[in-house]
Amino acid sequence: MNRKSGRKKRVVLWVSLSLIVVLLSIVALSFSFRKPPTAILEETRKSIALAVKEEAGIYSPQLLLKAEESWNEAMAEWKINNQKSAIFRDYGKIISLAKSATESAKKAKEEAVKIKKELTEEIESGIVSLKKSVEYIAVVKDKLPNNHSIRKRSTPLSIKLDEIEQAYRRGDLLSAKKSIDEIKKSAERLRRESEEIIDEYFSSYSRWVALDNEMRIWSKNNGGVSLVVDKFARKCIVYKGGKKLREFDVELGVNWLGDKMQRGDKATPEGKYKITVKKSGRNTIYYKALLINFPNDEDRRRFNQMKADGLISRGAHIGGAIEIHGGGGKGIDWTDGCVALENRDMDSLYALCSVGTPVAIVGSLTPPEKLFDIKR
Amino acid sequence: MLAYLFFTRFGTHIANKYVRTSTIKFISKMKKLFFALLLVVAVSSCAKLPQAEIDAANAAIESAKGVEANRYLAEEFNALADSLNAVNVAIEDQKSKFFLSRDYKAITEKLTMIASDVEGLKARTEERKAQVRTEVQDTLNVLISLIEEDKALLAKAPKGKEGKAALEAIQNDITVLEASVTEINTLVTNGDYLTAQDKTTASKAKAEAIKEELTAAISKTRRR
Repeated sequence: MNRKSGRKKRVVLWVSLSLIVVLLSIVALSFSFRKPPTAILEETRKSIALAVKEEAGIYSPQLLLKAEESWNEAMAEWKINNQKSAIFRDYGKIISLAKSATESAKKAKEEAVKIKKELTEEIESGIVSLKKSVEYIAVVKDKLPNNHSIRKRSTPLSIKLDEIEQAYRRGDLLSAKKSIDEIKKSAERLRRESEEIIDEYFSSYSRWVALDNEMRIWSKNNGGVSLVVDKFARKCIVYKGGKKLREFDVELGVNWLGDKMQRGDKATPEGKYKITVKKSGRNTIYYKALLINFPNDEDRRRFNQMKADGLISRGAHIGGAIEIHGGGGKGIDWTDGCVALENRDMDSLYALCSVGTPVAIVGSLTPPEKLFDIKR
Repeated sequence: MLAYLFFTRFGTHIANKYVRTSTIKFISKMKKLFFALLLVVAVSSCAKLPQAEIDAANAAIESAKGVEANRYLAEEFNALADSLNAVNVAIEDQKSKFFLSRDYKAITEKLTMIASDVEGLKARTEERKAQVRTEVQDTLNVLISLIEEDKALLAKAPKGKEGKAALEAIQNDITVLEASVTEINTLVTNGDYLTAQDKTTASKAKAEAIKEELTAAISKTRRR
């Protein structure tokens, strides 16, 4: 009886031990059969890292976000699976999410590289184009009256262009592009306006050259002196015997660019005149003065036409009392439309001129392509 | 029954009384083997998940974002964030293994290293920010001085009948620069030092150009 029960117990013991071993083997085998998705998630991680390195967060944010969301979901799913018994784990969803994340990350990287390349090209050409415009405007601005609106509007542009270059240099392509888009139109408009001002102004160039020749010839034929005031060059040229005798620096009206339209516009008139009165002493407040016959017949005709066309108000006055006088040398265009010389130069000019001396006031004797030595 | 004989003192007593000596010896051997196994399990269960280190590393990365390390030292920040991602993969990889073969030692070391590296990165970010802030402040001070110089030169600049009106355009430029100073101060207050730096450098260049222009105009008058 005793022997029988002992045998029975041994059998039970061996069966129990065998069961434990079998169970442990099953668990261990299930671990080895279900390979964790480590490799695929590593690949995803590397793809995301590469996309981040190419600044996909900035240049392809939506695709990168999609990749990161899928990655986070895959990791969360893996965590949930790892909490389960190895037998019940299922890595299928994790693998699918990881693949989707890798795909999105690769696309994000490609898109970021492409967008950066395109942006770089756009910014570089944008900067070149803006620089051309700003440089052109700067050259024109320097030759325009101090208070011309072109100058006022060009300063914010040139500051912004500097900012764009700074942003581009430190790799902030989006800021640079945004700023280019902001100022591109106003820069183009200002450049166009500058070109129009110059084109319009120099449309009379051939007439100015003809007037200069006329003065030269007059001095040769009549034996006297004739004067030419070159507004752009700020020079008063004295011709005698068909040759340039003297040349003086002059200062002009504040709004010297363009012809005089009416009284108070502070513009220096353009045209052919003659000295009508020589003033000195108490007769002038500007040391010495040579009054010219502004307005002449041509000025009156033009003024009336402009009035008729409504370009100037009906109550406007043509103005007058345009002189070549002393008191200059201020280093700025400051008169109400007269031509000012330094007193010492005025002495010389006053001595050379007499009543009847012809005076031509012209915009420029230098062609615009030489004055504005820049490519349009 | 077997478990009763196996685990309890009373079981042992019963076994001594009723079971044969050879069986008792076998049970005793099995007991030793079981406890040895239990010891192995106990030792291996020491490979606990380094939760504290994980939390610390995650918090460190978040705090680095807080000091804008991702903006000022983006490459270094991205490398550390990627290292943390790699560690997270390694953690789950270990968790996927049979509990007896898990090992978090290397992971714990890596997490500690990440947390420590992030602290270094934060310090360097603060240094970089301070450097940019100082540069912006220095350039801004130069800009403010230049604006004052420009104003003083403008007062000395040649004027005609129109007085100051003749130099209205230059005054307008100075006003634009003063508006820039206000914008720069706002950017600095908002902590956007990089944009502030761009604006300060550009405005300073303009202020210098105006100074040059005015100085030339004044010297031209003096020469005459």
